[in-house]
Parts: sequence; C-alpha cells; structure tokens
Amino acid sequence: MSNTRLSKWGFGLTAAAVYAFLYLPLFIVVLYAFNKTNINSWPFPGFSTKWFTILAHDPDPKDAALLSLKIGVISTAIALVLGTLLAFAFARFSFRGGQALNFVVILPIILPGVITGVALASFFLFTKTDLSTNTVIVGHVTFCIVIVFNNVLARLRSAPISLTWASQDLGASGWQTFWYVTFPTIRTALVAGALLAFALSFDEIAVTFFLAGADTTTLPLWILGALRRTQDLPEVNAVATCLLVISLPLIAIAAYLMRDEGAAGRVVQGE
Amino acid sequence: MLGPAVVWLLVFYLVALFLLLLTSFWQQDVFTAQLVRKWTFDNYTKLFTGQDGLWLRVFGRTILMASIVTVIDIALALPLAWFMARIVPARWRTLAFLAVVVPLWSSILVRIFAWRTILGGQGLLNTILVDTGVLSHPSSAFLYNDNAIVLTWASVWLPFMVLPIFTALEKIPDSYLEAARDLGASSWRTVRTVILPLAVPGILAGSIFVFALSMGDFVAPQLVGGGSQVLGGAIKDRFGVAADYPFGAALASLTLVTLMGFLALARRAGAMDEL
Amino acid sequence: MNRHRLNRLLAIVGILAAAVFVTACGSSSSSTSSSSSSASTATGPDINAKGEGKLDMVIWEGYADKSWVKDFEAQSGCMVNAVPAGSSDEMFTKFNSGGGGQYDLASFSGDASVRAIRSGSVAELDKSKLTNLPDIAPQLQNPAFNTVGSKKYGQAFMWGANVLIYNKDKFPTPPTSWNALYDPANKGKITVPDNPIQIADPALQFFNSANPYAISQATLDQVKAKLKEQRSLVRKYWVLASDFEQLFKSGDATIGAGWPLMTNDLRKAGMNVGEVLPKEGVTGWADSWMLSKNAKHPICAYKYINYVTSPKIQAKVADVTAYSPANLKTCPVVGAARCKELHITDTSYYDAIKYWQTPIAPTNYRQWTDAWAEVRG
Repeated sequence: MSNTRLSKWGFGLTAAAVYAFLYLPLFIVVLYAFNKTNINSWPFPGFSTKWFTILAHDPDPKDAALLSLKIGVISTAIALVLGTLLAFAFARFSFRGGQALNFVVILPIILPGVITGVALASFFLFTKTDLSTNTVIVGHVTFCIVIVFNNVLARLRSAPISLTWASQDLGASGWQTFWYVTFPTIRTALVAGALLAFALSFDEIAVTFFLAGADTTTLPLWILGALRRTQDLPEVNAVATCLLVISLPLIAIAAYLMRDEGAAGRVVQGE
Repeated sequence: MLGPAVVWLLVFYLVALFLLLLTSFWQQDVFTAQLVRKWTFDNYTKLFTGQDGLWLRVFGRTILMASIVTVIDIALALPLAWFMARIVPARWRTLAFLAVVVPLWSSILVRIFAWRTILGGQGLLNTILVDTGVLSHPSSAFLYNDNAIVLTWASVWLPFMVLPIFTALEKIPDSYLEAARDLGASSWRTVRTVILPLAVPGILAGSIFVFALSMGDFVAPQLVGGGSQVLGGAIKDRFGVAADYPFGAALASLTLVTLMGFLALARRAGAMDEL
Repeated sequence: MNRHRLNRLLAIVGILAAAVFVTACGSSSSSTSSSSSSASTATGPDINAKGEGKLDMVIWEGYADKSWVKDFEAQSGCMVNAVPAGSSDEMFTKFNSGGGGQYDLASFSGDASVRAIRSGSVAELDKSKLTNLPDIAPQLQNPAFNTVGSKKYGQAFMWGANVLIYNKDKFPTPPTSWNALYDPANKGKITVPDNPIQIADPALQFFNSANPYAISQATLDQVKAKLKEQRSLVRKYWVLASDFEQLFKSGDATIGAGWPLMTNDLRKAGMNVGEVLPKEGVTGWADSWMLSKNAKHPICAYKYINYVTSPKIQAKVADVTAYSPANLKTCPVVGAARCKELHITDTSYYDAIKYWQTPIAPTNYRQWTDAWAEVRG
C-alpha cells in the first residue's frame, strides 16, 4: 500500500475523529467535575472547584476506594500465585486435556461479567454463604487469574528453556534455579499482569454487583449509587477525574514493563 | 503445580456455572421466592415460546444491537489501528497506543453516564443542534432508547477492538507490503489480499470482546436505555430485583451457549491466539 | 507428572459436582414455614446492652438520613450501613441473597413483608422490647402485613400514597386525573415506576377493581393492554426515587407517578412541582421494620427500630420523606398544623389508600411480573 501524502492525511483525519469519539465522554467527565451546579446541562453552567473540596471531606468515596484497593490487592495477590503456577504447568509440561483447561482458564475474561456474577451468586445461594467482601474477592480472583496467566505464559514461552537446563546441569537446586534464572525472566511480566489485574478488579461492576454484601460498597458500587443520587453528580465526576490522574503514571509503568511483550513493548522502545 | 488454580476454577467457576444451569431446570415458589428443587422445563418453555415470543424478541434484539456495535467498532478501529501501527512516526507510537488505553483507566460507569449528559434534553448535542438551527427545540430522540445504548456501547468498548487489531496489524512485516507494491498491486488490492487477511485474527478477537460485553451489559441499558429490555438487564433483574432465579438462570444459560458457539466459530478461524 | 495429577483433580471435582447434584436432588423442597404455631415465644436481646457496633440494612431511600443517623451512631455506637432498594422486589431479593444474613433489618412494604414472613427469613419480634409499640396508630398495631396471630414480625414505621407529580411550570392547571399519564399530549414527558406492582394502579383507577391486588385474568389483560399503550408515551421507567428526580431536573420528564419523597426533594432543590391525589383513587404502602432471622447485630437492630419510631425521629423522617409517621405521639412534637398535613391521626385518609399487597389469586405475582415484562417489551 502506498502511503501517499493523501492517504496519510486521510488516515490521520479519520484517526483524529475516532480519538475524538473515544475522548468525548472522558472530556465531559473531567469538565463536569468543575461544574458550579449539580445539574449536568449544556452550555456548561460555570466553573468551580468546590466538588473537589466536598470530595476531600466526604468519607464515603474514600472508604469505598480503600475497600476497592483492598479487594484489588488481595485478588491480585491470589491470582498472581494461582496464575503463575498455572502458566508454569502449561509452559513446561504438556498434558491431556490441556487445551480444554486452557479454554476454561480464559473463559471468565471472555464471557460477560454478568454470567460469572449470577453463576457465583447461585453458588453462594446454594451453599448458604453470606455475601461479603470475601465473596467479591472470589469473583475477582476468577477473572484475574487469566490476566496473570496470559502474561506469564507469553513470557515463559518466549524465554528459552535451555537456561533452566543449564542451571540444573550446573548443579543448582530447584529453588536456586527459580530464584536466579526463572524469576528474573518473568519478573516484569508478573508486575505487568498484576497491574492489569488490579486495574480490572478496581473498576469491576458486573461481577461485584451480584456478590457484594451489605457493607461491601466498592468504589464502582458507590459510583453507581451516587450516579442515581442526583445531588452528588459532579462529585462523581471529581472521583473519576482523580482516578484518571492517579492512574496515568501507572499506565506509563505498565506500558514500560510490557515493552518486550509484543505490541506495547515494541512501541515503547520506539522500534 | 496445576492443582490450586485448577481447583479454584473448577469450584468457583465450573461448579458455579453448573449450578446456574441446574437452577434453570428448577422451580420457585412464586410467593416466598424459595427455590424448589423439582425438575421442570417450564423456564425454557417460557423462554422459547412463552409470552408471544417476548423473550426471543429480547434475545434477538440484543444480538442485533451487539452485532451493530461490533460492526461500528470494527469500522472505527481499523483505520485508527492502521494509523497507530503504520502511519504514526515511531517515536509517537507509544503515545498513540497509550491514548487508546487511557480511557479504560477512568471509571467505566462515569463514562457511560457522560453520554447521558451529551444526549439528554439539555445536553451537548441538543444544544448544538438548536443553536445551529437544525432543530427548533431540543429533541428527546437521542436518549433513553436502543440507539443511545448502541452508541454508548460502541464508545466504551472501542479500545477492546482497537488493541487486538493494532497488535495484528503491527505484526505485518514491512516486506509483505513492499512485495505487494513491487508486484504492482493496487492499494485496494493490497488491503484486500494482504492486510485484511492478516488482520482477521485481531478483528475476531476484538469482536469476541465487544460482542460478549454487549450481550451481558446491564449498566448502559439502565443509565441511557429506554423501556425495552436487553438480555444483560433482564438477567440482572431476575437475580438482583425480581428473585426469579430459575428463569434468570435460563436466560443466562442461553447467553452462555450463544457465546460459546460464537467462540467455537472464532476459534476455528484462529482468533484464540490473540486472546 | 501432570497427567496423573490432573486426572486425580478431575476425579475430585467430579465427586464435588456429584455431591452438589445429590444434595440438589435429595432435598426436594427447602421452604420453611415459621408460622406453625401462633403463640408468641420471641425473646429479644437486652436492648439496653451495648450494641454490636454495626448495623446493616436494606431500606427505602430516606429511611437512614444523615440528619438522624449520625446522632444514632453517636448514642448507640452502632455504625449504620444502609443500602437503598428501588422496589419491594429488589429489597426482598437483596435481603434473601446468599446466606440471608448479610442484612439485619429491612423496611419492607406490605407486599414484601408478608413474603418475608412466609419464607421464614425474618425473626419474630419481642413486643416487650419495642418501646414505641403502644404509641403506634391503632390500625398499625397488629396489621396483617406484619403480624400473624399474636406473633409480631414487624414494627410499623411510615405510610403514604403513590401520587401524581407534575412540573407546575408545564402544567399551570393541576391535573386531576390519572388519565394525564395516558394522554398522548404528554408523550415523551411521562415517567412511571419500573415495578410490576404498578399494575394495581390502572386496575384500581380504570377497571373498577375494589381490591386491585386480587384481579382476574381478564382484568390483568385489560390492564396490560392499557399499559402497553402507555409505553410509547413514557420517557423512562424509573427505578430509584433519584432517577425520577433526575428526569424532572433535566426536563426529560414533566409528569409522573411517584412518592411524596420526590415532591419534597424536588421542592428542596428549588423546582416548582406539584403533587395530587387524583380522583380515581390511589395505591400506597405501609412499611414495617423487620429483623433477619440470621441477623448478626440484633441489639443494634432493636435499638434502631426503637430510635426511628420515636416521636422526635419520626418527625425528622417525615421532614425528609414527606410520608406519614405511624407513631401518634409525633403530633405533639410537630404541632397541630403539620400533624394534619401529615394525616397522622386521619384514619379516613389512611383507609382510602389501597396498600401494596402481593397478589396471590385469581392472578398471582408471577403472572403480574410476566405481564410487566411484556409491557416493557
């Protein structure tokens, strides 16, 4: 295909339009965080930073954010262990039913959250388990495993197994081989997988909705509630704006870590 | 090594899905909403034939909406992904890529809600149309209907389509395109015979995400939708509001089977490597 | 290594699944009935003891407002966690999900309260521990929706009517008939609840049903046809009270069926709205506090019931919701004029409202839910 000047401009303009479509809602979110009133109408009613002050003194979104942080960290930690073990099993051994198992592992991320949510809700109804923070964590781990698994498996498959053999031949114990050879290879994949898993958990609503107990108000559940309490609308926008500002450096870190992980990686290296 | 993860997924996922399926064959006391573990096909009879085909219509409408969203997102993602992978100078490519990722890190709920602000009676769109004289007074045709849901879905799921297509396009070696050009292929022919076939796995992977997300979402229908039910919302209502678990389970099982079929097709076409 | 292990694991899971299956089929019915004997036996906790430090409830919006909850928390040491529900169905479902012990209290309306009693998910209350019970209006002392024989499962709290709310700027002459919600002139400006119990309204108002919760299949079909016609006029079906308020504030709706709470809130927000009880009659609700059988914080639960049914707090709840308090002693607190405004002692006003019940016969609630789903499309 000839990247003539014309086609370049054509693609550039189209891309700009698509970016605009992608960013229009985000722009609205940030803009209305500075809304003078609590009615989201256009033209913009007027500029004010009061909602950030209100947010700073409102314990509810802070408690919700802390709970989401806790759920995200615990879910990610469990998923890291389970997903990594699983990835090792797949990378090092081939076994009967492996393909079927692979399919099951990625299912929770492909099927919509509502299915995972109602399936686990049925499970807990059946086992008469009270819904709580723990049940939400169970739901989150289920889809976080996939993220870690995918990242670690991709890394293990691209790293030569001969390094491990060399280490063993040179008399290293299994633990030494892991610590000095394998772990450094997968370290960044673990961090990248963990970041992605955490991000998904932190913003999850469909699974959480069905598994949250009385006091499990995660940040998305708080937001869902606040969206319907009209008086707090700009405060919700302020929360989303803060999230965006906090996550920007995290995104940069994730992209940097994934630089040898294919797409994003090559991009960061500026290849 | 497999043990812990396999046990986890089997207990908390496969057994849970199995229970969901089981529930769809059970009954429920209408008054107390207690599950009655007696076998019945009533839920499926109702789903497929009951209420003048209401539930099949809901199912069909949701599939149609999810398909439209998928097509819209493919149409938007292809040029953008090509731009990101092939046209942007290498040093700006990181930025182009991150620019697609950034919206994902802001609350999805708030982004969905933003469309209400854009499309509402006193929203951005109406104000612009009235100010420019296109409309004489604000229209209520933009919000609280299926179109608003489709537009919102297309917007919030778009990154899930762009990223796999970008990955696929980026993998195409420059030499292929040079070869095509050297052999005298027209631009259109290169696109049709070289680029698109190589982009197909990415397009399929993105389509699976976008289609499945649309089939199960209940937030956008609740925030920007109108009176008509969609599948995700109907399932949510049966489990979260009406306490009609058996019928909700039947709806969820139908969704599950549909998506599994879609997955099997995509798998045959080679999309699974991209997931 | 792994073929072996995987097989073993699959076997374990097979056994697990089989176990689930067997339990599933073994006990064919798990419904329990708690009203087997009518003699009251309940002994509640010592309500003067120190609370458990926490209270989880699922409530109607406005039933745990900051204006009194903060004082309650300070006094009792029970930290309140209240989740709002948009309909009786949602409240009932939330209350019963999982193991049924995540909530201590619910503020069930009459339709859900009877279902809760029959499903055995609520505990009998100890009347001697309900300090405000003697002051509750006579008709709410032992109503059928929270009492079975001498067993008391709920403490009456607030009651009110489903009203017609309109934007006064758009309706200079107040509407007097529910017909306004079926009038094509108001197309695209109407909002009504997304709730199957809504079927009772047209049944009462247009199809002469003396008891709109016991209607024939023929009436249900007529109602369904009428609601289907209404559907094209409806801007949005509201779920939470706040949905309704938002639709009014943004101008997307100018007339709708709602609760006095919304009129109250919208007026506080500076909107020029009016509320009427149309001539065709109204449905309404009477709410009771009910305690979960598996409540983890029963002392705090009793403390809250007694706190919010006390005259002073009833007055505050009325300020927030504009509903009518059940406690007659609220009148001396609010004064004669406000007492009249809230119809606290007006039994003829109370009797005129058709309170929400769960339909059983001739058409049952499942048929209503199905009909409502057809209306929604």
